[in-house]
Amino acid sequence: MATENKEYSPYLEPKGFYNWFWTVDHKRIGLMYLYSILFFFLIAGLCALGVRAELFYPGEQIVDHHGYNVLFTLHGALMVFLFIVPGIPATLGNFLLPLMIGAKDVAFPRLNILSYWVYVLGALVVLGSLIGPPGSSWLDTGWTFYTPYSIESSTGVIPVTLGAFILGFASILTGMNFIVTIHRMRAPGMTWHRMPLFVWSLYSASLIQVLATPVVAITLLLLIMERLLGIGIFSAAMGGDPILFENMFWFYSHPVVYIMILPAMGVVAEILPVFARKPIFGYRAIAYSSLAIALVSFFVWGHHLFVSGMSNWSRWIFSLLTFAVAIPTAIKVFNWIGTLYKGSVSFESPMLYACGFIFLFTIAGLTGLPLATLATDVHLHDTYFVVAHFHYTMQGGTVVALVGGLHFWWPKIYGRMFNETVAQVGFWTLFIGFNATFIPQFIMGYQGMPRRYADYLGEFHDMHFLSSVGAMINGLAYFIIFGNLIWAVYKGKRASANPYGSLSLEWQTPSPPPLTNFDEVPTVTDWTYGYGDEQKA
Amino acid sequence: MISDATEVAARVDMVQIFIFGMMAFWFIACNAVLVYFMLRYRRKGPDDKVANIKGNHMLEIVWTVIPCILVLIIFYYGVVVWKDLRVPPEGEPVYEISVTGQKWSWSFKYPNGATTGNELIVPVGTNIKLNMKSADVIHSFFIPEFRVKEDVVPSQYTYMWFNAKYAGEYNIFCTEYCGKDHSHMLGKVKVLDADNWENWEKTGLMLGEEILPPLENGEKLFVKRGCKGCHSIDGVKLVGPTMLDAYGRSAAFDDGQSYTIDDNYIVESIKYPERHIVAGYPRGQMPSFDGQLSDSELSDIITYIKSIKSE
Amino acid sequence: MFNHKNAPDGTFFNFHKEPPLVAYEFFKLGMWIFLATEVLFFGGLFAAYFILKYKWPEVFAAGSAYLDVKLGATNTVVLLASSLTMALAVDAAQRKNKGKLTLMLGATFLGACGFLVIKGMEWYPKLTSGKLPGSDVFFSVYYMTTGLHLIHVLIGMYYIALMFFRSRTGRYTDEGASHAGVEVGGLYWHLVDVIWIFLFPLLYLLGGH
Repeated sequence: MATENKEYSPYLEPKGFYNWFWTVDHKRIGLMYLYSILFFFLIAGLCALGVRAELFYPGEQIVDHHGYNVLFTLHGALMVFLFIVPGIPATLGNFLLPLMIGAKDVAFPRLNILSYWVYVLGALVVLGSLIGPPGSSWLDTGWTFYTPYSIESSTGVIPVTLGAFILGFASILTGMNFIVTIHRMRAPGMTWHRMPLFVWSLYSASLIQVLATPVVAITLLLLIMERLLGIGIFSAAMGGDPILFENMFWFYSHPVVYIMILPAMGVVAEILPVFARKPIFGYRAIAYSSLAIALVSFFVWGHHLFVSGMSNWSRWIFSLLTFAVAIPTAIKVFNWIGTLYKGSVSFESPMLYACGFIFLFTIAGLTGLPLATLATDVHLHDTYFVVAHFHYTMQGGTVVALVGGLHFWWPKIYGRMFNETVAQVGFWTLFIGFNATFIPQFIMGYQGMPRRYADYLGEFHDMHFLSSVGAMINGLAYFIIFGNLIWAVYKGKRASANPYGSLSLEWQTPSPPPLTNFDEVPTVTDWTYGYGDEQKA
Repeated sequence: MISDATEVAARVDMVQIFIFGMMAFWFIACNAVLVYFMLRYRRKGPDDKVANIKGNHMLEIVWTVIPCILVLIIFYYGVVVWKDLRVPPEGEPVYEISVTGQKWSWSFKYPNGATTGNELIVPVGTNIKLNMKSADVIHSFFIPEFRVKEDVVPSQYTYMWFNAKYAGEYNIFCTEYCGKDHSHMLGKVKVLDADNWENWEKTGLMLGEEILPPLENGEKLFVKRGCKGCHSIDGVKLVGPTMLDAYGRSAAFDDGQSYTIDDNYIVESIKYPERHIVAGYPRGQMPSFDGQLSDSELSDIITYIKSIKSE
Repeated sequence: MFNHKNAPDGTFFNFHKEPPLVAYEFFKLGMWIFLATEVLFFGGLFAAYFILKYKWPEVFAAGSAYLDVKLGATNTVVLLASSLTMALAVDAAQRKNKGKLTLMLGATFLGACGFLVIKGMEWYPKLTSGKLPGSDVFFSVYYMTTGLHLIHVLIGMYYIALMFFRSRTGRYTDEGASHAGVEVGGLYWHLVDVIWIFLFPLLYLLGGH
């Protein structure tokens, strides 16, 4: 257990740019990643608010059509490539993975910092697309870069795709590092089936990062070559195939959804048992369902092309395969709920986020059903129904879990407690604002409102208005939440080593942890979730 | 919510209702249990008795198998209805119309040689098959009331079919992002009853509709064919040059030549826009309307363009 | 500049001070995972190849017929030979035979140089006679696949040269030193070879001859 030993030096010391930027310590790298992704979360979030503000009323109010297209493109591209893909793995994952398995660092510390530098480089290249007049050089293709529009567009397709290409390397390096770390660096006694579920989910997500990212890398490289040399592989005019781009793009970009959501599920599986004081229900089912999701995720990309001129038989095969993802996902939800059964549940803010995640994620998962069903997807494809569906997984799922995880591990990261009341206010503001934003979008999507529309018919006005009001509340919530967390770093009450009474290894070292993580290599004798056993804690 | 205007659309709605029912059940079931557990087992004190339950194999099997069966049912039901939504009924006559999507308008070509822009005119109670191709980037043709949608791509022909139950007007949306005015790439399906259709097919006019004078018809075409999206009539520079005072003006082309804008140049620009581009404007923006407008329609447009003067 | 051996906050842990077995295990697993990403990277290109070939069989047949099979086959042999010398280098490293290791790495490097020369002999006449990337879909695929392969060869050559000079200092063969570096370099070089083994028949042999 942690001691009140004043001798140790927390990893936060020594300070200074040089000491941080050249570090190879996984905790510091995790934190630097955190600052960086939150910066882009802020920018991309403001873009989203701009989009919603424009859509309060039909017609042009704030920006013209091109300006609107730039806003939703920036929102999507920054959120996906710079915020949510590195989202949980590179921040909480980097910080916690070695701590959770009792290692002193990741397997390749130098590759780890290289990953961060590559991320910064990629981010700068993406931002490079903003040099130049907004009207003609700011990217307007949507984050999906569909050909042939992205070949013809006069805007900065090359900087953004090149940036995404570079960011792919950061992602691959992180994934590779995690897999080797988990295979080779577990502390004595930390068997595969004693590992925290967060580690299992990182392992599954890393597999996807390593296997899917190279495909988008080659796809984006071909697109860049298309623009530079006119090679014609994706250009219909030159005998190429624009649908090939969609196939190759989604071969990565659907699995990438699971890079985003699997670690989020892992965070929830960590929080639930601690606050229910009970072993996690169905450990192996949750662990293996992560792997199952990772595996199946590679065979479902075709549902993005249900109306793209694919042959009819490939449409129904992809429909069937898509349904296969529903099963492991459902298993996870049932097991999370089962964990609360006969527990002793307390509702500090991390637990609120975990339960909120389950609530929102059931909506996200269930609204996936009509999108996987052929007959109904034809109508719903590329409407606001889809927009609402994936925001429920991405924001209602990943972001809520990330924020919940930050509340949970904040005392560990900074050794300080945040204000619990403000945290709860923040949660409810987010919960209400988020649902108010996206429930109207389900409705208007079903009524036929297409996505990526700068202007809309009058009949959709009510729902757009409601959604925009919700978005403003949603945006406000993040200022409350992160304001509270930042306040805690400077003014928060000192946290003990293990304020929540968790049994996981990362809590068995002081808060914040020393540079070397543990004074001596811990030996593990039991699994992580032995709460019910003999009234431990 | 939204009405259905074909027989298949009504069946798609049945699938939708079935799935919505399933979703509602599972959503309520999961969250009711979640909330019940949250309240029932909330912490009363530090000495709460906690059950040492690590899992239950029987339950795992049950809640794996039941969702498996349910999704297979949904999948099967979805495929069966989708087949009818996707493939026109075999052995029945179909009326085929070619559709071209281009930034940012739709044009339709009928078997009798007639063409229309942004207005798809079809008879009620007939199997209509649309053969679609894009002239530039990827678009998607969506009629919400018919529950049909299919991408319109430049590299291959795609198709869709429907059979409208009632006469009336329905929205057409482009649902694949295609650039600046994607949200204005709208159209209407006009479903005509038998008499009206017969008249339209012969004369190109609705019952009771008069032939418009050239100037007004030109203006109508200018709007319907999407010219207005890129060519302003008030002097503002959009994607293409403004039409204000355009006629009779002398313009420099990007190849260095200069030319006076007359009837021939306007026709050439509409049919073969890449031949001469006014200096200062990008190439590759304007789609060709070759074969999509009749000679009389072209002359009406010229009449209209002549009339756009600043005074 | 950054001192690899001693990061400012003192946290870096140095593989060369770890037991050789640990370093070896880490590096080898890491490299295998990296090779998996490479396979998918080229997998995307192969998918493009097959789809476009299915769409344009005659363009691909004509393009393939235009290529010089003799030069391609010679290059295949050269690359295979360099893979053999690389395998011998790894073997020498395992046996702690410094002289043979250096020799074999040098031979591998020369093989790679030979590959580059023959590649230049193939590309130069094509580039000067108008068979450029973009002249048709076959040549686009041809230049993208062989070009990316070429970049991998160049990266491999850089690493082989690095190993060559390091091996002369005894970095891999001294008592207690780990030869993991040579091992992963070998794995990488074999992958470069394997990709070429796929590229050669697909581009030169199928359809055209």
